[in-house]
Amino acid sequence: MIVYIGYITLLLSFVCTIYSIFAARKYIKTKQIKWIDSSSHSAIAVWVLLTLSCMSLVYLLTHGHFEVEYVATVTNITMPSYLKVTALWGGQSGSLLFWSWLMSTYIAITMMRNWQHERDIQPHVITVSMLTLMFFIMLNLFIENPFKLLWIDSTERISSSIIRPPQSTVFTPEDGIGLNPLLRHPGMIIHPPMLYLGFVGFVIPYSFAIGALIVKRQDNMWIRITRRWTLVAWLFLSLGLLLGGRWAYDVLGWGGYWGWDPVEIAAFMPWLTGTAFLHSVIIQEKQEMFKRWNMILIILTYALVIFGTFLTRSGVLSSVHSFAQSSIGPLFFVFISLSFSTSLLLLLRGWNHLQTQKPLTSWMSREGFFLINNMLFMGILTACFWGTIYPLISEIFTGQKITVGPPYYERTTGPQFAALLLLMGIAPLVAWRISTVKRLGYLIWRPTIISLLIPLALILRGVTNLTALLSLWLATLVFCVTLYEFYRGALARQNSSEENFMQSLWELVEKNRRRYGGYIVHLGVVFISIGIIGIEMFQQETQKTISLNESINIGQYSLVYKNLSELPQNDGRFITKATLAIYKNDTFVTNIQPQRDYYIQNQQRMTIPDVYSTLESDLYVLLIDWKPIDTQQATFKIYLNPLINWVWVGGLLFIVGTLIAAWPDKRDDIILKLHSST
Amino acid sequence: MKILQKALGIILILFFSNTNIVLSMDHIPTDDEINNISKDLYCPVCENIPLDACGTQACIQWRNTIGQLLSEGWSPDEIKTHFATQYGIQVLSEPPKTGFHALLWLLPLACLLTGLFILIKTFSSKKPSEHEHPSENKRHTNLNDYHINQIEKDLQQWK
Repeated sequence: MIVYIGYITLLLSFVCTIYSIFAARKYIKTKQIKWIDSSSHSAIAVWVLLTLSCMSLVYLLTHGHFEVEYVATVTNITMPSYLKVTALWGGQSGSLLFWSWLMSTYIAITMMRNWQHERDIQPHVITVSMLTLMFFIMLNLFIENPFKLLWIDSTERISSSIIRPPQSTVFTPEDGIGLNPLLRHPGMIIHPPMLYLGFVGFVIPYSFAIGALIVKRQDNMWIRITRRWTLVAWLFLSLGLLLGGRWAYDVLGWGGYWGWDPVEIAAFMPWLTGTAFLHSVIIQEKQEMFKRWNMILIILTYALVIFGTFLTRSGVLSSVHSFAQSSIGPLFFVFISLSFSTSLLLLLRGWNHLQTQKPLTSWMSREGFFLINNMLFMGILTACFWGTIYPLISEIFTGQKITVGPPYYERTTGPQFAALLLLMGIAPLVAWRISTVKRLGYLIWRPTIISLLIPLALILRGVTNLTALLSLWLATLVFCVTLYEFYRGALARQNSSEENFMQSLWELVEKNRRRYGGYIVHLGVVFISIGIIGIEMFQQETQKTISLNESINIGQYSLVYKNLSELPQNDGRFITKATLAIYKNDTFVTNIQPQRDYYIQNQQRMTIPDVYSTLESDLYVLLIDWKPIDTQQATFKIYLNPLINWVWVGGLLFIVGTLIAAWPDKRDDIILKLHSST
Repeated sequence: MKILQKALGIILILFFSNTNIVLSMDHIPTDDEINNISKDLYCPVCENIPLDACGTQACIQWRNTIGQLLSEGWSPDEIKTHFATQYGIQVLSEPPKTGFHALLWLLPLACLLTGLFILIKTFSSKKPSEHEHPSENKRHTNLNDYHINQIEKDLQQWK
């Protein structure tokens, strides 16, 4: 019964998307308001129907309905309840349904806004967003249906379909296979939803942009309306990437957080264009420039979102993320080709209407620096995109399979990231329209001198790695310049008011949330950079087989192997856990317990690290192997990851900054209303 | 005399090279030495996981082979080449920088240079007009005076 509720609501949601598009087109022809209202209501109805469909699937997952193929694939009896819920996005068809539901949520919220002043653009926004949604629901209905039942015929052949095949009865396995062990981690509760929210969120600004292109609007209305949507999508995407890094660090057991895996890069690419877009729209809002460029960026971001989904789900590239692969690749390819080429055609058609009103006056200007910033983002994107698709290119043209691993990405993107970091330090000090080197020098000399203290201190401590010194200096420079910007602003405010410094600082941020929220994001990026520099340039690792009470040394630490225990679990795991005592400079610190989980049903092993964390470094210990208990020997792999925790601290600051920048501001609303009324 | 010198040289080379072989035969490679090579190799079966981090039986076997080859005195480069010859260049973490695969490295560089060229062209074709002066945070807005006054009024009410 529940299966059919889920299926029928999914089917109805598909019908509603088609109707919504039809009604929007009808409004364009007739200009009768009833059609656009009906279209909008229909879009909201899609959300209601998809909510019911998702709830049905969650019910089936949590109540062990193993007669449903998807349930039998991603759950089993021993799995805890929270993992049964997260199994909604643990497989291809469920995650597609969840994806559609999230997208419908965004669209429904968009539909609830007051469209009175944007009636011309509304039907196009609905059409574009609903076409995207329709594509995903269609995949769910016709290719990856999560409500398919298992059937067994008289010859004991098991098949799956929604409708009963002739001479078959429902087949209910005693237990399911269960979720991929890699996905049985608390991080999986939140990482995929964040990433999906980031991905689908970009559909809204894209829809507005295409709407603006179709009606040939020359103003910045679509940018102002979608600014917050873009920030929200970007925030979720950033969070998704960050949580993905944390998940990899905790689960994959290779001592790192980012492996330049194709699917990681697939999620990173829209983030790059989205970040470039967020910077570039500021210029359009303030200077009426870069209109064409912003259109290109949002079209690229949308295309990369779909491309990323295609890469993850088609199995066209090998990846550690290949949890959800199927034969939907060709359809995705057609959809990407169609949507991208249509967007480009519309852009070409509206090219002249997007003429920039003001010329770029000088490279030594805020907008000039933003342009260089955008070029660097595009440079990194090109390197990432090319590296991701190159294995396919190689196979097509040379017949050779190849691997493009981290060395390529690190060499091609590293210098560009460093240049971006430098720009982050300089750009906030440069004035709009035109500035001078002398003026910049006057503003930057103090932060520069302070920032040089860090590399000097490191040199005195014996650090000789030039790249590391240069990178850390850059990070410190950005940190000092950003703090200096806060200080300058608060001081200026204090001088013109009766507030004390702290009050001035608070008011400064409160009254300029977007600017200072952005600066806080920059501070977050600085901390993340410090963490990355730490692990990339100073990571130490060692692997050794030792007997009981023997030790392994790494850095200032010494780890003594104490014991090994084998612990069968009730949830289908067999855990082998080692205990090691950590000593720092011969002083006992704590015990650490790396373990190996063996999932009996899946016959899969997971090496789970245990980590001793401080802000200075992480001591990351893996149990690699062990000899039978009587020989009492075990092999451990140990990483010393300096400064890694600054990545997560920076991530938190990043989120806080984005929230501040995205927080609703009455003044923005007033400007928007005034724009709409003209 | 010269012949003697040459002969002595050859004897010394042979002596030391032989010593090296004997030493390397005795050398039991550490896990760290094996991992140093393993992290630059990918087995063709496991998906995008370097050999040093992969726990499959095939990868464990490969690491044993690396250990064996190291103990026989092979250099890291020779070992990588050996695996590439045996299983194809896909086992290397990066393809060779020669021939067709040079494209992998050249294209991003070419794109970056093109971007730089476009930027330079853009900047050089837009000279600052005479009425533009260096100014700090000069505000430009497309709102007219009426709108600005309206915003100011609303802000006053809001305060």
